[in-house]
Amino acid sequence: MEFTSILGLLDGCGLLAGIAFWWSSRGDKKSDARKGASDILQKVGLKKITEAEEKQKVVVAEIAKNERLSDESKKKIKEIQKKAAVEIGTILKDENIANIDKEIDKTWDEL
Amino acid sequence: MGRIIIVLCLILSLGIGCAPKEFTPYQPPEIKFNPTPPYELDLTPIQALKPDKIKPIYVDENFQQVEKEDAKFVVLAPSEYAKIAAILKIAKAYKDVAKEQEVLINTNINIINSLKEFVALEQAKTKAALELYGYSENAYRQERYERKVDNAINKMSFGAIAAGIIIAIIAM
Repeated sequence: MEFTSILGLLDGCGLLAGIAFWWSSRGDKKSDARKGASDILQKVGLKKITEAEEKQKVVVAEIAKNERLSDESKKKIKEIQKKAAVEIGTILKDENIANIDKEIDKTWDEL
Repeated sequence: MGRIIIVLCLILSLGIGCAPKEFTPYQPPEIKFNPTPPYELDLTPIQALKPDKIKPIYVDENFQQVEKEDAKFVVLAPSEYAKIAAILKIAKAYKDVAKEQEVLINTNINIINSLKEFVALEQAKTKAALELYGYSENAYRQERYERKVDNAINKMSFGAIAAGIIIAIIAM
């Protein structure tokens, strides 16, 4: 084989190697582009999540408020009973018919 | 030998320095709900004051005390009359309790509705997180595929170069 043919063969190999490296280096650019796209998507996704979390905070505050109201209602029910107990105790001891009559009239209207 | 070790250490430190930063996933805030104890309506304060059965005095049309069967009217002593007032008070208390219980039930319905909304938001969050996972997984798969293709091309090129050089050497 002539020297020029060998040189040509080596040049061919070099060219092939050059194309291969150029080809594989494109992968980095693609990776960078993909990273950029992924970052944007992550940001968008995280925004959706944080927005939902903000709404959840409002809901949690609402639940806490209702739990307080629920406790207040339970206390009120106890107070109603206590107040009624005092009134019943007083009326049962009362011997004055006029007073009893007045209480009956008053309570009757409230029923 | 010392120089080789230094060079190796430098290469190693360079490799560590270039390693990608560890990805820290987003940490959602911790939300805790305390369990609500079962509600028990204790009516003992008013039940305890329930008076005895009324003991009326049975009278005829001349207001003379007679047996129950011959009675035309009933007469109550003040203490017995007071029992009617007490019973009315108890009835009124039950009515007030029932009304307040309506408020209590509606408050608990509001809590249930809020919890339903919370669950819906949690589902939306899970969906968004799964979408993010999908993006990452697809990007990773694409990256892996391209790396595989690049590696294959590189291997083939180096093989071709090596084969070319060997042929060239043999031909010389």
